[in-house]
Amino acid sequence: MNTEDGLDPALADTAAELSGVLAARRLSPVRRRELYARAVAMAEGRSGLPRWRGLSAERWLPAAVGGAILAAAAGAAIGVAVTRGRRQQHALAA
Amino acid sequence: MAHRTATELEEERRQILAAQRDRAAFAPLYERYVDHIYSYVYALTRNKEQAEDVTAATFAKAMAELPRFEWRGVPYSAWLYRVAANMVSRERRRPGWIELQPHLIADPTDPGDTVEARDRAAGVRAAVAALPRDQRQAILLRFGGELRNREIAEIMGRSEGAVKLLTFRALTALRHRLGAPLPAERRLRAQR
Repeated sequence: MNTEDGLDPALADTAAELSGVLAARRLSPVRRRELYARAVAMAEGRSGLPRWRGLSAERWLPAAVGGAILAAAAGAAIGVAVTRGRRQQHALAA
Repeated sequence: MAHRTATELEEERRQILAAQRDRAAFAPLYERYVDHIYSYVYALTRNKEQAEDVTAATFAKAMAELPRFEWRGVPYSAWLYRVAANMVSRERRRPGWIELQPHLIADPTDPGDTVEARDRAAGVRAAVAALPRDQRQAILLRFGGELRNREIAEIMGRSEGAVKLLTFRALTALRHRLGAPLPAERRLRAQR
């Protein structure tokens, strides 16, 4: 409750009650994230800011995991190709 | 959220500067204020969906306007409240806006509260909702947003004296309508 603004002392208990009853409602963490994502999307639409800057955790995490899987698969494919190539060379040499 | 000290305001100024350089740094500001803005808009609209829409739109505008935001030594929430209030006013002028009468307002309540405390809290919210719009806004910003008269005056575009008068009249009306609050121990249950 504000006290430094010169509130009438006779109304102080009503003011205290209001402070309690009107205290902020808490949104659930999921709802907070959803509203943030909506706000980011709306802000991008409004300002034309690049999309990557507004990526929230729940969006960049799957993208990062997907990227890592893709990189590992590409590495494995290259490894297999190199090994096959070497075997063929050995076979030809023999 | 109590009144800010000079140190807290300085920290907020730095957060805003950081967010102006990199919008990813806006998240702490959002986290700090989202519940307050949502509560404020909900108290004005009495509608969960509208409150969520306006809250998201308020923060979208905040992000979009961030590069042009100028620090003026008052909490960032003052700017957010003003944007939210303007959006609610605009929405009200649109066709299809339905404002519930105070006696129709049902608030989600904590099942742990006593019936008496729940009824009292609902009565207080309904009495606030029945106040004239300016008085209601002053009360919500002061006791819900915990802002100073100076900051409320800036949001409402009124003088500090006018805000004091609005608050005094609203408190007097609420006291007259509601009577004395519950004794402290029962009120604490109502506030949880």
